[in-house]
Amino acid sequence: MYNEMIREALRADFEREVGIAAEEFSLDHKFSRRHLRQMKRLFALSEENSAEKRGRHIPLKKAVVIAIIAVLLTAILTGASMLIYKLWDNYRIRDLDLYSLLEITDIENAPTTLEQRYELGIDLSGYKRKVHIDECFEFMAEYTNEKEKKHLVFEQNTKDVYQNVFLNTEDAIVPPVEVEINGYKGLFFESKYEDMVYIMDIDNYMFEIAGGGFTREELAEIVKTIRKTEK
Amino acid sequence: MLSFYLQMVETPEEKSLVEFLYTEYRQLMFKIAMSVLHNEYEAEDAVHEAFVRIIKNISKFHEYSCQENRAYAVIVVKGIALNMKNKQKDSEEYLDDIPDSHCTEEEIEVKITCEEIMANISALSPALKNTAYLYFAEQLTPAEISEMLDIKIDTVYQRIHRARAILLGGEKGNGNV
Repeated sequence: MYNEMIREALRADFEREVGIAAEEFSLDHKFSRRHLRQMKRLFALSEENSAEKRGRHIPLKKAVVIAIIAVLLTAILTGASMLIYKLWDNYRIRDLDLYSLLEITDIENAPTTLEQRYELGIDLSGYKRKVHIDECFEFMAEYTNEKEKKHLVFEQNTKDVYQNVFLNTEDAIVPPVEVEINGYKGLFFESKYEDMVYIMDIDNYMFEIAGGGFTREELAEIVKTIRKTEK
Repeated sequence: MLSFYLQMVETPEEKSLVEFLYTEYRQLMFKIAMSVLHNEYEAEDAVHEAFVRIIKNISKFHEYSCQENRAYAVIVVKGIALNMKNKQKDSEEYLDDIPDSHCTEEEIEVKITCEEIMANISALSPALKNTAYLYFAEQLTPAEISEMLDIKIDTVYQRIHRARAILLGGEKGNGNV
């Protein structure tokens, strides 16, 4: 008898609390890119065997040592100041507690909308395409090939949208390193969830290409195919 | 650990269910987490962690109606948010050494009304309330609650016992459990 009363009382209280929370935060939240990436990872790879998709990787400790040596050598050879996190031009990475922050400061002359759209130039037959974001300043599409257990995320952003973005580098398998592809500067890292990520500055837009089930070299080849869409 | 959980979603139906739950309840779960954490970044993390937990228990979600799925999603994310908040305060996440209450349902005075039970709910700590809701309102077994909230089963028994005692007026809550 009391359990019945307790049940009704708790249910009423539950609905009251949910109502209060809904009222307190009445506007729907726009989830961050970081969160969307985490959730995409959770869903897209939920059927994969992580042992099968593990590719070659450099142990973290070795990668950190290599990165530090590279920075020190660069600083010594160029006489540059010892800004360990400085990347190319006005790009900088700052390590925070759990994540890194990519800072971009040269956004003044960059487009504020996606005046020119880009796409991947690889054969995507066999992939299921899902567009997550399609705004005038931000585009994100996911491509999943369940048969080959591969997935790709392609993002195009304006620089002002991307200017301070968190990178999921906590316990990264490969910490962020500067790269150059097709003459464009960018960075690469491999997250602890085995996502390979290229972030490229192409024609004053920021592109992020993340992949699972690819080697770093394969993903770099995919990055090379980024091209303008026909209007 | 994440890849271990991911392997537990075995069928396309379960995968669809997880995605449905996310689409349907993420905003509500975020708001619940925000009401506890008051930090968007942490609230998003709580939602993410909640779905890791949901995936781990996805077979249970299969069996339940939409209303129950909603309740579980809310309870799970609230529990995670409370844990995150407690960790920030450097307080113990769970007090396993809850003093045994000598009150049983049979020993508590019989005369109590529904309104009095409603009033006594305010004396439950959030952690007690979460466990009590899953046990009394959704009628999960202690083992299921233990998995859902990722707490020891002994803690579940203690909380049920304590919550019942507080709700039926036999004991005062101290807000710590």
